Amino acid sequence: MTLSSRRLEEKLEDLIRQGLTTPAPGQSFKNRLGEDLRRELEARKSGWIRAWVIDAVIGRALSDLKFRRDLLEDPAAATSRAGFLLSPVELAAFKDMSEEMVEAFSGALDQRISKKVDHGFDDGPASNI
Amino acid sequence: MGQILKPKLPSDEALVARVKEGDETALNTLYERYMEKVYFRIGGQVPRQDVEDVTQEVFLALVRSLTTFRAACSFSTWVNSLINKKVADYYRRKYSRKEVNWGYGEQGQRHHQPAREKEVMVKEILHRLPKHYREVILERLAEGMSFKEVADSMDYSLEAAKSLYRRALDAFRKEWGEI
Repeated sequence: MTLSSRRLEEKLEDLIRQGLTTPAPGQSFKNRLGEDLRRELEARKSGWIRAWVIDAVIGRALSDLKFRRDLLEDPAAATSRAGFLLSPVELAAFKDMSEEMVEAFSGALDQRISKKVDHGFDDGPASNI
Repeated sequence: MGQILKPKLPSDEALVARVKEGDETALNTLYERYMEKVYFRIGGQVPRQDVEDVTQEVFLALVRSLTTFRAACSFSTWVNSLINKKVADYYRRKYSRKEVNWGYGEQGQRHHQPAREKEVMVKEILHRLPKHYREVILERLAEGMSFKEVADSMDYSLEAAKSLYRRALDAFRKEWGEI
């Protein structure tokens, strides 16, 4: 690159750099946006259904008879006592649950486990069973 | 001996996984990590008075679409693609309101343009350049990255990054006219 073309490039870089210079964001803007994001996350959480949470609660209901009774009677209190933090939508999913539904789920789970045993577990060494 | 072990910071992807579970602290860490980066990247592309609005749009879109983020690409690549989309939306809105005046007058007169108009022109020309030209100019001149860093970020060789940068400057100069 010749000296004059290098000088031209530097001039162009200066021009672009000046055009691109942006003052740093103000603290009040940063705080306000941070708060907006927190509220957005909160709003979205209320509509979430997390499969692993549902599975964990049902798993506990299958193995713990007292928890199952409590869950059917008052899902909010039972899950809160057991340390599960459920969104309103997740709670609503348990509000209409009946004993039969838990039993049906238990039956379906038994079938899935039997199938795994028949065909061999694919996610762990057989020697560990 | 005497080596100080720094605590290992969680990766972006680990933080995203926690935000997906509703963890506000993880969201805050991601926000702190990316706030200025996003702000200045947008600041290099839209006029100053609109930088805050577009930055806000990017972050809100980020939280709303986090559940769709899959680790097929890095989180920073995903954030950059969100920035590109929101900046493109911004200019689309501007064009539709016919706010953009491409006729700047005679090219020689640009020397006398006030700094504010120059800023808008630089950003609008940059927006019209092909994406990879825009990227390399922003990384070099807005974010002050070295050629090595540019090459790493764009997955180019060092020589290819330098050559791309020169071509990008040439393209910019053609749009700008006489300097």
